[in-house]
Amino acid sequence: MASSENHVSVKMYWIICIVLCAITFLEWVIFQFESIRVNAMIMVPALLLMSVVKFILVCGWYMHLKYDHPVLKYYYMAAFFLATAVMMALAVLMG
Amino acid sequence: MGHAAHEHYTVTGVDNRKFAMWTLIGSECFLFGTLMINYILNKASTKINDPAIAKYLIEHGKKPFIAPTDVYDIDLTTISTFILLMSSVAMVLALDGCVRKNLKNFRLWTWVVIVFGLLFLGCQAYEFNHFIHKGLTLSANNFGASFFLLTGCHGAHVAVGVMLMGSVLIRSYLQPDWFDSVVVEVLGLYWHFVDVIWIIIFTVVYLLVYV
Amino acid sequence: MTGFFKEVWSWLTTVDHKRIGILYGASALLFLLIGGTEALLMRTQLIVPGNDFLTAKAFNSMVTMHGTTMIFLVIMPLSAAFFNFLTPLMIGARDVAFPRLNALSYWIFFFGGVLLHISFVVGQIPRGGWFGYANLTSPTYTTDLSVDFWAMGLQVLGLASLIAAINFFVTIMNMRAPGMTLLKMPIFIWTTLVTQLLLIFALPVITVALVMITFDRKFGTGFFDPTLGGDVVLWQHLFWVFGHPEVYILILPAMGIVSEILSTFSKKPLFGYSVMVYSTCAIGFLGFAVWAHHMFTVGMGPWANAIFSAATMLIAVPTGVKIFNWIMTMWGGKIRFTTANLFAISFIAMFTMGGLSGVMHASPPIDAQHHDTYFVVAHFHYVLYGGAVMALFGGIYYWFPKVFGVYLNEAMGKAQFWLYMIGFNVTFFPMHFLGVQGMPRRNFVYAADQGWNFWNFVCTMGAYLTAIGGFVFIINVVYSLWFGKKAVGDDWNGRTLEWMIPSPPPVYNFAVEPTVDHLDEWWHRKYTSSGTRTDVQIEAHVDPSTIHLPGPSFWPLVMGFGIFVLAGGFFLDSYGATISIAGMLIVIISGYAWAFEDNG
Repeated sequence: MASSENHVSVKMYWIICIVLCAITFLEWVIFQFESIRVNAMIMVPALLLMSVVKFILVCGWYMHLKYDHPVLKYYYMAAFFLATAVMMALAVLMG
Repeated sequence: MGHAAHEHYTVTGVDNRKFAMWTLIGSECFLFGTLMINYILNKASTKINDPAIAKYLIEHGKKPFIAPTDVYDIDLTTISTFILLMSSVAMVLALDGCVRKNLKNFRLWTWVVIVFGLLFLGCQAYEFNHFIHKGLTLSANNFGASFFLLTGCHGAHVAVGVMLMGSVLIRSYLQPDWFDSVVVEVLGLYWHFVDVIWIIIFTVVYLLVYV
Repeated sequence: MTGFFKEVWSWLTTVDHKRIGILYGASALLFLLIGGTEALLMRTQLIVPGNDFLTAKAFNSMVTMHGTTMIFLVIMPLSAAFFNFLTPLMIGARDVAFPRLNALSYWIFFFGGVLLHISFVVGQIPRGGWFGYANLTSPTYTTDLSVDFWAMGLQVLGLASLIAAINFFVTIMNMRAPGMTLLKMPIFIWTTLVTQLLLIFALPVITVALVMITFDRKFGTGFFDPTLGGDVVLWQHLFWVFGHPEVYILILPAMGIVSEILSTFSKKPLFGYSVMVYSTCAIGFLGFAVWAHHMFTVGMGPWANAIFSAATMLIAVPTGVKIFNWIMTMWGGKIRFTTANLFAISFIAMFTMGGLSGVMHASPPIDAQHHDTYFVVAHFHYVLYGGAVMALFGGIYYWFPKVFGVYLNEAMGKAQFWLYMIGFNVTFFPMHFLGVQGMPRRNFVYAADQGWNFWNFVCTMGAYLTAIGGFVFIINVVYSLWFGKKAVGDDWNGRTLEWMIPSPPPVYNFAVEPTVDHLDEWWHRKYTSSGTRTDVQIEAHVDPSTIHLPGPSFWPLVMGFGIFVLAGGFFLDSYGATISIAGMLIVIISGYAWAFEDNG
């Protein structure tokens, strides 16, 4: 089979690049504020959300998952969620 | 590869090699997941076990403990995160160059991937060296052990990626008409996944310890 | 080169899935002899109380190596033999997705088995149990290299399985014949598919655990050492997160084999095929949710125990569904009691018994009684031996004519079957009694006044009977390869695609890659809907040179050796690092040579 057709334009790649950089910068910025840094209620959801966005952008567009055969997406999501579930269960069990 | 790329009929339309790389990526979710949970469970284990290091710390007026917040330099880690992200951008541009059979772009962006990959490894090496000087070795405490195991494994993955991209680059010089975009795409998937793992490590390992 | 060396070389460099399957099968049976001997040695030690046939250290090594060998060097490679030989044939393909990678898996496995057994040569046989619990494995409590042999051996074997799992997963997903949708695949291919996913997801966990224990032993980390801030229970969790899916890895292929055999010899399609598929998937998925049932007595607390208990009982449901489906497959069928079918039918009974004892200790309070007693030994031998091993032997009798072009002798087969069935039950049924009478596991002696003498004697007698059955099997194989009745192609009036080609299959498998319209496609080609036989025949041979196939390669063998050398470096203090680096270089160089090889 031919390699995947280029559904993503070079312009899109650069836009995503800028977004990824911006998010990373934002992670660093909120880290600079002592008062925010120690506030778990803000930091944990914020950081998790930012990583999730980065994750989705890289997987969906750079790794082309959004445009490929869905079997790849389902497999990867299954692996990722199962791994996360097992590891979280372990974290709870080991206290 | 050495022979005409074998593009067999496939049920899903996805090349076998690409499918295989995704399969490996699924497996690596469990590999890094286990390493990460191990870090999370061990990061509070900060008491120094090595008597020589403990003595060194006490002599310098510190307690015989080393915690993440004692050694982490978030500024440096943010820079290395940027570098790895940029290498991912370069990777998609290298693939784009390959697909369009644009030798100049293909080579240029492959160079960038390699250079940035090496820069990332350089940052890691600097960071590890810095930690070791502060007394945090593999056997100092379990925080150190689990930290080095996780980030070391990730670094090893980056090193393998750099080696493979280096091979691609050399090939493009030895055989300027070689544009196997499936191979480059497959390597790209590996490279992006290693970047994705770092995205998670940056958050979970570095940033969240301060909370 | 003389003809002999040429033949040997062709086996060393083969990338043909059929030959690789034979290599796995032969290796597994060789290791079965070793693992079986280890069992006989243990049973001989336990034949009478206070025996001094084996020292405690030797006995512990037998316990460890019997388990490790039977799981990693017998059941897994024997299953791999079937995956290898049958998968491309059953899906109508010419080979697997990555033939050289397939050969690599075999050679890594081979060297892994060798590595594990070098421990015998140097007298440092692993003795920490097949599960290597911390902190017995710590450098404080095991100062010799036995743990390292075990850890590195398993690491190497795990790599072989992971590579193969990726190969077979891609093969099944991507190389099915046109028209063969997922729900038209033979049930054995489904169980193979789920098994590969279990391997892909579970192996990395034990990889990390083994790295951690190796680091604890070699580099002074304290992951599993409480005095250094570690936790022994962490080992148990990591091990069993792998270990539980591992037991489903051991049983699912066997279940697939049983399904195929039963339907052929009942002359009926598998009852409830789609339900069997969903049950297989459910078992695979739930297999990741039950691991801590191996740890009920560790002290995880009532909530953890209750949740894992419920999940474990839940997994009995799809398993039970399968039992009913097998029985319903046979019900109303025209049953032929061939040796293969005897093994398959016995699986249903023996596995059910093992399942029942398993469900008993799915309850934590009951497990508190069973744990570390012979009751558990009885349970897992009923499912793994009465279950998996019997099914695998059934598979050997069933597919032997396809692989070798001759049938195994039925009279000797039935003799082996009965010797195995009786021997097995005589050995393991009394262990239920011994267990509830309190006999602990893994003890090299027992006192004469515990009331265990009689049943231990009986168990040992059963083991010797089984050994005789094993001899009969060896004689059967040797005899049949020389004098066996010739097989032509559709050796049992089968239902799946491997029966539509000659026995043994031509190197190219199918002269014309088939198109599939039905589940049990070959059956539908042979019989109209009213049951009359059509005139379709097995495929005729064609000139193999007209069909393009991948050529042989020795790089898989070289790379496998490189990995062996890499692992070996961990055992030496002075030159260890150099040796490991040399091994890595061999791997890298053979990798490049492989990539640029013109393999066709």
